[in-house]
Amino acid sequence: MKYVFPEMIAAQSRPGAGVTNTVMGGLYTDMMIERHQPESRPISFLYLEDEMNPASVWLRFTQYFGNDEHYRKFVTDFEGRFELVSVSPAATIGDHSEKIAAILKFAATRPDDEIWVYADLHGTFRLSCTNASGMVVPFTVETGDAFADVFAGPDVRLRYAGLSLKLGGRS
Amino acid sequence: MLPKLITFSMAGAGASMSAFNLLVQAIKRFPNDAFYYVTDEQNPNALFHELVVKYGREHMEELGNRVNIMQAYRSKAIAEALDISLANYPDMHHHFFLDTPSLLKVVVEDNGPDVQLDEPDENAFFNLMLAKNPKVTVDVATLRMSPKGLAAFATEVKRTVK
Repeated sequence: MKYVFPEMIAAQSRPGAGVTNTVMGGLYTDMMIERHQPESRPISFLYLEDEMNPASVWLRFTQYFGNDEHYRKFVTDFEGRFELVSVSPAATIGDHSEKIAAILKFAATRPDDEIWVYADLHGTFRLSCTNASGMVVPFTVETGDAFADVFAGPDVRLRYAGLSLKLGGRS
Repeated sequence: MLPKLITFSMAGAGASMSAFNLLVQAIKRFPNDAFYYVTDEQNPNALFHELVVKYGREHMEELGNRVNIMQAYRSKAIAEALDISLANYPDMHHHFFLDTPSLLKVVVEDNGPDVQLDEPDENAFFNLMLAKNPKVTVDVATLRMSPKGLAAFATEVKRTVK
C-alpha cells in the first residue's frame, strides 16, 4: 500500500450520500474553468467509476448541462480530451489493474497533456490517520502500490477520490 | 458523529461548492424537511442569493425559516442551531450541512472515523441531541487540514513521492 494525495476526498458512510455528485460536479466545474481559462499545459479529463451502469454515467453527466445544444458543443470542444470510464469494482484493496490500464491508455493518447483523474471508486482508497512513522496526521489516503505509482509523476493528477468508509475504506 | 458524506480537501479544492450543491438538490428532493447550512468562511447572504436565483424569491419565501444559512465562528453555534431547529420544527426531518472545517476535527478509531466539534462540551451536547432525535441527520461535513497537519503531511510527501 502506498499513499496518494487526492486534492479532494469524498467519503460516504452510507450509499446515496453524494460522492458521485461531489466528484462529477467537480469534474464539470473543472472542465468549465479549463474551457474558459485554459492552463498553459493542456488538461485532459478522465472520470472513473465502478458501481453504475455505464449508460447511467453518461446520462448523469448530461444532466449538468442546461440543454442538448450546450452539451453537444461541450463534447465537441473537449473531443479526445475527456472520457467517462466504467471499471469493475476492485476485488481487493490492492488490485486495480483495470483502472491502471484505463488511465495509462488514456494518457498515451494525450502525451502532452496533464491528465486529471476523478476517481469515483469504492473500496479502492483507504482512509487512515497515521503515516508510516506512526505520527498522527489528520488523514491520509492509501491504495495499492501499482495504482499509487500511476499518480507519482507530473503527468497524472488525482483530483478527486471517492471512497466508502464501510467497504474497507478504513484501515 | 458520522455524517453521511465527509469531504476532506487541501484548500480551495471545491469542498464548499460541493456541499452547497448538495444542499440545493436536497431542498428539491425533500420538500417537507428543514435545512441548516453552516459555513465558517462563505458569505451566507451570497449563498442565500444563489438559492433565490435558483428557486425564485416566492419559493424561498414559502420555505421560510425551514432553510437556514448561517455563519459560525464557534462550534457552540452549531450546537445551538440544532437546538433552535428542533425547537422550531420538532416533527420535521432536519438536514445539517456543516461546511465548517475550522470547527471540526476527525478522530479515526477502530470502528471508523468520528467527526467531532472542536469544543468537547458542544460535541457531547450535539451527539446527545443527535442520539435523541433520529430525524436529524448530518448530511455533509467538510474537513480540511490544520497547519500542523499540513506540515506533517508535507513531511510525508517527501518520504513517499520520488
